[in-house]
Amino acid sequence: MDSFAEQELLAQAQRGDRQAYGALVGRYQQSLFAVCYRLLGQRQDAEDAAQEAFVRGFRSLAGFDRQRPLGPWLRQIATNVCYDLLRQRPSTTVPLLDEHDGFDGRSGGWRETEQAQIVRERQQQLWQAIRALPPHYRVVIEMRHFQELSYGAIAAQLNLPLNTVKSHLLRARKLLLERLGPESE
Amino acid sequence: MNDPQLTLKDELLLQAYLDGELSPAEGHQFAARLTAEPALRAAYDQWLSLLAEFDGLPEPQLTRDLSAGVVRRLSPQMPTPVWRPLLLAQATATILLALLAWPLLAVLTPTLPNWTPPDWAALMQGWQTAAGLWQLTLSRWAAAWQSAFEAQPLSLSLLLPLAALAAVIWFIQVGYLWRATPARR
Repeated sequence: MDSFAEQELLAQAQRGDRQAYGALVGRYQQSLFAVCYRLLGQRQDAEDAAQEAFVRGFRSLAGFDRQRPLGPWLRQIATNVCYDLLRQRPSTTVPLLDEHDGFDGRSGGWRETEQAQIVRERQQQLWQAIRALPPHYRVVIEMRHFQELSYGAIAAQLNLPLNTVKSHLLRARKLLLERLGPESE
Repeated sequence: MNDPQLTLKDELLLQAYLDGELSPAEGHQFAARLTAEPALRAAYDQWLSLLAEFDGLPEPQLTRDLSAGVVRRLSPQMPTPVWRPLLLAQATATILLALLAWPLLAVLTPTLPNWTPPDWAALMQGWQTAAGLWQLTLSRWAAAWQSAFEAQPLSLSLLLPLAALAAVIWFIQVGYLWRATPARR
């Protein structure tokens, strides 16, 4: 889908065309699901949260400035939906990795070199360490490392002071470093 | 993991440097410190190694299409199935009520435009006939219906109250449907 086609779909969706919006959902569902899965850690929860984000997006679409890129805006909504869910959860649980985390398909089985296996295991450790973070640390890691937002953008989106964002990010990274330990060469 | 050789201020500066959040002047200044201060350099290398690991993480993969579910959620909500039989029963009752009330209305309603007071004897008879309809056979009711029709042929004066009753019921039903349909945005 090129930019022109997306702009046309967006214009139709802003006029209330649900089918046009459905086409946009098809384009952005993978990235929104990835955001939700990284934050919530469970496939079903992530799919539900991504759907909810798309529904909220449609309801706010009339005021959306078409000069802005749609993807980051939708991911911002998804992040907020997931962060609200995380804060409502009674305790932080660390779900197990599932076969669609991306690791399973990357395994080369008997052909996988020892080095590739080490890298894969290290990635799994990092995944689990991120999932074990408290919600307010996990969300800044998501926004900084996966959505590549600036400190200012994170502060604005989470409605936090800039220094709090810096502090959260530092503490989150320290927790990850503690849980991961130094990378073996 | 707190590096005892670094102050909190230096740790935050180091994070900001790694994230590209320092101004060019601040960045140059900090880069100079990195070459001059081995402890700072060691911490930098350690953090750089951690942050590089994020780049290699695979993205969680969505395994089903969400767009159909989103579009369905955006569609106007129909009454839940439990209400549909009730609405049908209400409509049926309205028709039955109108038919059963025919003898009563036939004598109660004046013929327009010449208003004449109701014939109370005929009214009582109509009531008795109507009350009997609930207890007697269908043939008795049909006979009463026929005699009432002969006494007062179908006229505008009869249709008006029936139309008013139907309008009231229609507005009630539309009001229910309106409330049952969520706001679109």
